[in-house]
Amino acid sequence: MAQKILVIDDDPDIVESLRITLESAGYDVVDANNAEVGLEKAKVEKPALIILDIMMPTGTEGFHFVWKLRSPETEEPLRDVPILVLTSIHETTPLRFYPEQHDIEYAPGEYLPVQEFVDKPIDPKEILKKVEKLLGTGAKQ
Amino acid sequence: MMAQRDEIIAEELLHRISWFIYLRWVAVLGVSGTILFARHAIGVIAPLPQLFTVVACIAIYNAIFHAGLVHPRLFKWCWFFEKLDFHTKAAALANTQIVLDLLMLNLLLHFSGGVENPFAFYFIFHMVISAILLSVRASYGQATFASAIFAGTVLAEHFRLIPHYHLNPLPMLCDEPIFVFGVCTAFITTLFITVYMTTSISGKLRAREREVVSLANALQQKTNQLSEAYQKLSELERMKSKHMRKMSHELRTPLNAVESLLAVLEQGLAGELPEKAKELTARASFRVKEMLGIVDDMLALSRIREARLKPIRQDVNIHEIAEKVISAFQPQAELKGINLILHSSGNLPTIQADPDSISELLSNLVSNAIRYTPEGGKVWVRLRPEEENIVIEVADTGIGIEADELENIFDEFYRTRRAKEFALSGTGLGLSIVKAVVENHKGSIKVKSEVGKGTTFTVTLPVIGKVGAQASNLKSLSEGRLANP
Repeated sequence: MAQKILVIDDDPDIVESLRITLESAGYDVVDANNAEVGLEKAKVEKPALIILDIMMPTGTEGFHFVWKLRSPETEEPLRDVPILVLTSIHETTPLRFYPEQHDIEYAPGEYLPVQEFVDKPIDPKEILKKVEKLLGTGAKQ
Repeated sequence: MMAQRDEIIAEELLHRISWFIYLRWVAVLGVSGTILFARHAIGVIAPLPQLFTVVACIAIYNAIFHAGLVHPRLFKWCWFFEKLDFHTKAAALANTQIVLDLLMLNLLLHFSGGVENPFAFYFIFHMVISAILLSVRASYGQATFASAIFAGTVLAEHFRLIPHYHLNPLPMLCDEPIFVFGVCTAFITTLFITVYMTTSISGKLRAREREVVSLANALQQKTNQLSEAYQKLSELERMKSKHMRKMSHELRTPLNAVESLLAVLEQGLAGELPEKAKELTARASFRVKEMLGIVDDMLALSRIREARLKPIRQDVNIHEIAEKVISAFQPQAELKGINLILHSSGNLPTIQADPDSISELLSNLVSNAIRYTPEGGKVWVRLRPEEENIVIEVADTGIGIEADELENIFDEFYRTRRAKEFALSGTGLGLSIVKAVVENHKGSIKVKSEVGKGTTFTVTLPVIGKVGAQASNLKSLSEGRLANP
């Protein structure tokens, strides 16, 4: 059975590029254009990987999605699903995010609990390599 | 402005009047002392009651003036006086004091020998003081008044119109007409000449004083204007930076979309493309990447410029950052067969800096070095400590920079002629970013280059927080801050 990937991004062209790329490698793709819908779809579709745009459309929606997904409210195994984050910042910059008002136990200073970062624009070859790495090793760091 | 200048001059006048009042207290003591000394030490007989009455009068009116100076509220009942403007008030005050003094001095002399008393010379003091405190006309007026009362008293005594208080044991000179006439003439001429000489000098001094105050005011105005202009400039810089950042951000989103779509096309994922189509797609993709490069650089530049207002300072291990940058650029260097090495002396101190900016600085210098060095060349990064600084050197065996362009290389979007020939793409912002980071950290940068041979950039950064950091900041700033042709 083909593995399912959930793409969450508000830019339809990025979504389309990812869809074509992933489907060409045999993955099933479902998409959402905002964090709320994304969370719903994640619960329903139970994807093997989530690709998330962190800057969508303001600076905080993406972050809140991750904290919510990783919170004890979310049931296993969804809570530990690997997340690949799409950023607009250079990869060389180490990223450090802080939870804002959340009842989640992540201590400030901890890295955002995601598995990989990729810069936009999408390079299909690079995306596929990273996806394979995450799904191949089966997940959580 | 005029008001301010007048204010300063008015204050000066007030100071001088109060000085005059204090001087009079000294005089009161002096006169009293002299009278007693003359009587008891030298044995000169003079009518003590009359003399001390005069001294008492002086003391009384000086006390009134002194009180008026320290507690002006006591004299609010002088409504005619309050109505006048400051200068007239001051002039009236000065004139009154001088007139009173002249009268008292004259009385003192009258009771102590008149024309025989050598202390008649003391009238000269008041001539000098008039010249300082009063207008030229008033000074001559006082000279005239002094002459009149002195000559009047002396002549009245000579002609026995009023009693002569003779000072034993001095000779009886007040009856000698030639002597009396001589003294009066000498006295009057002395007074007028004194007034003439001192008013000339004081006139010039006053003019100079007015000039100075004028200049001081003008200077203050200019300084204020300058400060305003500087603030406006800073504000404009900040707005420019903010605008650049917003624009860059807005541009990046659609550019990302375009490049993603082109990449998918180019890699045949939306269907195999004919050769020509593939080529064109690749070319389009190249240009978009160019634009993305410019946008990224602009974003970096405005971020660094805005960081100047709120600098980030952490312990930074430059060696670690340099290693990361070198390994990031190693693949690029290998593609061109360029030897990319890091030389780091062992005892590098930790510096207080913004790690991201330092990374940006090194990345840009190394990226440039690689881009503008032909295949098979060398690029090296050297790190070493120097007094209270760290020196970062990035050298290459590249195309070099022509001497006449050295002063422009840090300008935004500037690319040298040779650079444009050698490598088609380049944003022209790399060195602007480097310069902004150097400035943020209060460091300095120098460049040495030889066309066809290579270029060396030397960045000196202070290790902030250590003793002596200030001194070396100044030193490194004066030692050629930016590129010198």
